[in-house]
Amino acid sequence: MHRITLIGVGPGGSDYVTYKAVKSAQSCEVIIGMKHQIAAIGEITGKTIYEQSGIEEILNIVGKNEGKAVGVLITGDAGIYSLAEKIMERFGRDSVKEIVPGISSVMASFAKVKEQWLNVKIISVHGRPIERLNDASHHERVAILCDKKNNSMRVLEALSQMGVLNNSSIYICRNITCDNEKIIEVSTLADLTTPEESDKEVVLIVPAR
Amino acid sequence: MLTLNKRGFTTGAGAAAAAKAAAIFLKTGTLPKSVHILLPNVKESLLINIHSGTLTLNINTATASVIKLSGDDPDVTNGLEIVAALRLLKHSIHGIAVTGGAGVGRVTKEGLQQKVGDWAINPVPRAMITQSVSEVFSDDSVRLEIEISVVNGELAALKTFNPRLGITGGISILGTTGIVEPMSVDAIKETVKCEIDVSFCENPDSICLAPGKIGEDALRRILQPSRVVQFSNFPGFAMDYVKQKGFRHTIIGGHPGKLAKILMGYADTHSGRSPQATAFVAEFMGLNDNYNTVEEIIGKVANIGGDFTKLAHEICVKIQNIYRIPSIDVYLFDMKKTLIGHSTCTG
Repeated sequence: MHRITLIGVGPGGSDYVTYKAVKSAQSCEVIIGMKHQIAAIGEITGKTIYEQSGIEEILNIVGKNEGKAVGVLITGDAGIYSLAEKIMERFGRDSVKEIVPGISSVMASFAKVKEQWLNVKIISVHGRPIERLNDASHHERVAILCDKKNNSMRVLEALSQMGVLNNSSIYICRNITCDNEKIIEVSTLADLTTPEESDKEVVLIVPAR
Repeated sequence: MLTLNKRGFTTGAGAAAAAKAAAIFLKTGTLPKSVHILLPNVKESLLINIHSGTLTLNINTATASVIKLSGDDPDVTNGLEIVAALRLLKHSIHGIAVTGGAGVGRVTKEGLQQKVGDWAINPVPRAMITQSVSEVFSDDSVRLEIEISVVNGELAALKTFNPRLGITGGISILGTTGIVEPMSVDAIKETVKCEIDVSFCENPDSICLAPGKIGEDALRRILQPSRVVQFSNFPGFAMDYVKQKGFRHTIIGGHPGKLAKILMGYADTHSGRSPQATAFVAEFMGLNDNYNTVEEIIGKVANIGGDFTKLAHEICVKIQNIYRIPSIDVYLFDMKKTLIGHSTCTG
C-alpha cells in the first residue's frame, strides 16, 4: 500500500512555503524533490532525501518505497501541470494519502502585478507545442508557463504573430518570489531583456487598463 | 456529430508547401495546384493549396507561393503570400540551404531560437522546408538554395512584437506542429458533454462512445445503437463525465492507434500532445520489427493468426482502474472497420 503525500512548496522563495508543507515534510520518512525545493522547505533532518528531478526516476523511487510515508515535493501547487497526475496514473488515486496545496507561480504572479486571476486561462508551453498559444485568443486573462526553449521572447513572438496581444497589458514574471525576481511590464517603452537559461518565467495577459 | 472548426496552418507549413511546389515546378515544368507536406512528429500530412499568382520558371530557378490561412482564428499573418524561390546550383557543397528574403525578419537580439544575424526562420520550419524539397530532389549530389520571402511581411510585422524583440524587417517563420487548431478545445469538450447528457436522457442504462468516425460507424454496424458519442481526442474527459452521470454500462469502440493511448496513460490523445502508439502496440503484441503505423501492425498480426483480444482487455482494465467505470466493453477495429478484438469487464 502506497502512502504518498504530494507537497506543494510554492513558486520558489522560502517565504512562500506554508507551515502545513513544512509539517507534512517533517512527518514523512522519505522525501523526494529537487535541490531548490528541498532548500525552500528548510532544515529537515533524519529523512531519506532524494534529490531528483527526472519524472521516471521519481516514479521509480516512489515505487521502491511502497509502505513508507513518502513525500513528493512539487513546485507551486499540485493542481497545475504537476507530477500529481502521473503519480496517480502509475500507482492509482488511492496511493496518494494527501495533497498539500501550495502557492502556484500563477497566483503569485497575478498578486505581484495586482491583478485578479478569476477565470484565467492557464496555458503551458513547457515542453509542449508553441501552437497551443492560439488558445489565448479566446480568453481575456491568460497565464502562460514558459520553459527554456519556449521562453518569454519566443512566446511573445508567436503570440503577437497570432494577433493575440491587441488591447492587452502584458507582463513577464521571471523567477517569481525568488531573490532574482524580475517583473517586466511589456509596455511600448520597456526594453525586453533576454532571459537566462535557468530563469523560470510566466507571461501574463490581462485586459489593458 | 462533432463539427470541428476550420484548422489553419503555420507560416512554417506554408513556407514548406511553397518550397515543395517550387521544387515540383522546377523538376516537371508544371506548377502543382496543391501539395502534401509531412507534419513533424506525426504520421500525418497536410494538403496545402498553391497560389497561382506571379511565378517564374527558368532553367535552374523556380518560384511558387502559398496564401497563408489561419483557419477560424484569423491572425496577423492570415492572407499573406509566402513565396519560395528555388535555385539549383552546380556547387561543390551539396545539400539544401534555406535563407530569408524580403518580408522575413532577421534576428538582432539574443534569446530567440535563431542566432543573432540569422533569418527568423525557426528550426522546425527549416527542417520542414528542407524535408519537403528533398522529397522532390532526392538526389543529394545537387545544391539547392531556397529563399523564403513574404509579400508585405515588413508591414505585417509592425503589428507584431517582432520589432521589440529585435526581429527586424519582417515576420517570423514559425510553428512546431504545422497546424493551427482553432483552439476551442473547451468548445469541443462542451459538445462532448452535451452529447453524453443527451445519451443519458435517451438511455441511462448504457452509452456507446468512440474517438471518431471509424469507431462510430463500426459500432453502429455491429450493435445498432441509437447514438454513438464521439469524444475526439479527449477520452479522459469523456470517461470522467460518463462516470459522473452514472451509466450502468459503457461501450467504447475504435482503432487501437487511438485507444491504446489510454493504456499508455494519455487522457488526451491529440497527436501533438501524445506520442504515437505504434511502438507501444508493437511491443505489446510481442513484435520486434519497426512499423510506421498501427494499421501495419494489425496486418502483420492478422497474417500470423493473432488478434487484439488481450489489448482490448488491458484497455478495459485500465479504464476501470483510472475512471472507476463499473461495467465496460471495449471493441477494437481496423481502418476497414473490421472487428479485431473485444473484451468485457464487469465490476
